[in-house]
Amino acid sequence: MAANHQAHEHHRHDEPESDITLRVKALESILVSKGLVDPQALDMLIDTYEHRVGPHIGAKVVARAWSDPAYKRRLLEDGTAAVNELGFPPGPEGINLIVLENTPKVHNVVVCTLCSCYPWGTLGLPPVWYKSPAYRARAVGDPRGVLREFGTELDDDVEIRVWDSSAEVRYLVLPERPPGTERMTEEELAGLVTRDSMIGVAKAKSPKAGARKRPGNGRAEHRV
Amino acid sequence: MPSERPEDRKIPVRPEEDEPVFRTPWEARVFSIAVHLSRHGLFTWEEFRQRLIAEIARPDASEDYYQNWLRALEGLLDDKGTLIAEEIDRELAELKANPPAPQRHSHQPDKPLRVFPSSRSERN
Repeated sequence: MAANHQAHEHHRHDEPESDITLRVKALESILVSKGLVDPQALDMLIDTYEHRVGPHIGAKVVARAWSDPAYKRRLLEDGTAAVNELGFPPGPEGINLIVLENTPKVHNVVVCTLCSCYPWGTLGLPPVWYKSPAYRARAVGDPRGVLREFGTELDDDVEIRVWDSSAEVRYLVLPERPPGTERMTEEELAGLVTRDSMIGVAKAKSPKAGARKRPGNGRAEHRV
Repeated sequence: MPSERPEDRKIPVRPEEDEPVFRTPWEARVFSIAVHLSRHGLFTWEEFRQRLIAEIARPDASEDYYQNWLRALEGLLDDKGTLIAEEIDRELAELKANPPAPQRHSHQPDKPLRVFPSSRSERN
């Protein structure tokens, strides 16, 4: 019963939605009156993360690496510079980006065990599950089990490397290029690269799965 | 160190299809306030991150990530002397006494929003 009680305690800090909305309004209005916050700048920041920055950027980076071996080398050597090279600014936290290559024998998974560090510049903001205590604990303790929950089965002989994001370093996984994609354009390839495949909880989509959304033409969906 | 709460080890990770970037407008506001203030040098991102880590590690941390984010931000602003908790409480009391006008969204109550005429011919 004690455990139950504790699990319950867990929630005691949550405030009702209406109270918290008001509290954040109060906070913003005080900061505005002190001249520390400009509401329009906040609108722009929100717009950036809701509409402009997201996994489509990471997907372009991955597709370029799959198509251009020299670029891939540069990306693995210095992720921050190689992403910059494509015209994408690094995340606002000015962080060092390290790109981890998946191979048939090595699969990389990224977590932030302490909070929610994430490569904002290439993937946008993290999904709720990435920030959950369950993922933060279990990605380290039971990565195979976690991958299975994402529908990702790895052979027993594949080594799993779990990387913990930090203040200094953010990671982006370079998933394996799926078979049967030799003739695809970079743009089409980008359509196979999902957010989850760049966190390392999934593989890139196979061209067949990618084409499902466009019945009839047999080509991969490439709206990214 | 990863979270030490044993119950966290049993909970499945539940991915969600097409999750919105922010679930509510207040999440977006509190996110952007922290980023904005750190960009303008009120605190470093690392200072904020350390506060956030501490909030998340509390045994009574919220399951709602941005509630922890808000508490981290308030705590840091308090430390910096930028804003004291009483200021928020005072402002909050004022907002509660004079709630902000609802978003302008007026209808003519006697008219439906939109009418889709029947495709069948009128009976009467």
